Amino acid sequence: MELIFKALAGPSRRTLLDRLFDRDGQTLGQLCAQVAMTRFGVMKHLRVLEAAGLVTTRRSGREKFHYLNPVPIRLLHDRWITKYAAPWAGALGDLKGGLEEETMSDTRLAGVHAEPALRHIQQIHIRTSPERLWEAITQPSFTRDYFYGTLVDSTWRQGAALVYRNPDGTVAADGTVLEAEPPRRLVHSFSALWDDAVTPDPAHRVTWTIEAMGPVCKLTVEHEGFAGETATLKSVQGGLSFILDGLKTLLETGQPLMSAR
Amino acid sequence: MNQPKHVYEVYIRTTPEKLWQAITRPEMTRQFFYGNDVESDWKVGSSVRHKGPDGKLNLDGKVLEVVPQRKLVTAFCAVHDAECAKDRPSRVTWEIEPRGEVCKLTLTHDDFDGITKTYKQVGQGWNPVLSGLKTLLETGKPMVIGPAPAAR
Repeated sequence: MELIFKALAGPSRRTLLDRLFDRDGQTLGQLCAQVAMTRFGVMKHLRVLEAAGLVTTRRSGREKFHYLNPVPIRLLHDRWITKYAAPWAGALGDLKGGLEEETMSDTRLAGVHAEPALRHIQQIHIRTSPERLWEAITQPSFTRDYFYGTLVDSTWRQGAALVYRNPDGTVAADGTVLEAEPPRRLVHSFSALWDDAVTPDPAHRVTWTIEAMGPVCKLTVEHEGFAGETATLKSVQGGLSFILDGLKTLLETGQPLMSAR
Repeated sequence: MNQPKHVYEVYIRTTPEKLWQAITRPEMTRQFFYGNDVESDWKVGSSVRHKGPDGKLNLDGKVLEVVPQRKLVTAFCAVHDAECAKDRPSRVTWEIEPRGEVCKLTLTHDDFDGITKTYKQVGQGWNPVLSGLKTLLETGKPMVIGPAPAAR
């Protein structure tokens, strides 16, 4: 948490976050062109932001792309709301200062959202432990009871393949593990293959973040990096609530949300 | 231009009757709505007040539309916060759709004057409420959110 505060304390770093908020997924060269900083300065600041988890990177060939990761700011925000346990408390309001834009992106959290954002973020609170939640996300004996009947399969090591298979063995979705930090954070690419409408869409990125709050875990699921208002994005907007509510019911009651499969 | 709004969908294994009771009765709301008791006679035009355990008025509103077990529309004003209290009352719509053994609850919070303080705050506020409502109805016990662990 200290790393986050330190990273946000620098105006140059906030400017870089602003530029990534304007357009996610930029190279070092693209960022340098927009700010009055040396290339070395930008590199240095990006390293600090990356260490704090506020920026993530992905390589594609010789290029390295930088992405804004608003989750740590959101966790910070929520931590103070929970601390005071006041209804709708916005205790971070006074702290946020130059973070107005990042805070704005928080509002996209609000489940299905009216603004055409090319990402979809949802949160759910589940009475369970981080370890058990991690297990439920990564083991087929759980996913078949809440993830549209699919069985997930992966070693969950960085770079490993992951597959969601239908009970008949056909592939509903696949991807690659980008980051795995049990039982806190899982990032993977995701290619939807469950019907003809979604199959041509390029892969996007999914981040699962687990935060323990006493006997409850807060799970934040973010789907991002869509190429536009694709069939996959619409499908995720329409279907993620059902998956996450099924996950919650399974962990809290031991039974699937829907008994018939 | 799209008007700002928050929309949440929650699937709950319960009946429309029980879900309606959970939203409209104080002995239920105090178990998932930040400890608040709801007070209203649920007639169109009547007040709807959410009061904290200390009796403090936190949310002040009015019944705009009632279709028992199906739809409830209320005006919403977060009077506990001085800044939010200045915002014109916004609108909260609860819609219940039975789907076999589960109910689909859709909560829409809209009719804001742009990106108001209220709009920003409730975006975070509804998530724990709706998760707690689902836990209460499915397990019979409230979901108690504890403190976050110390900084890692």
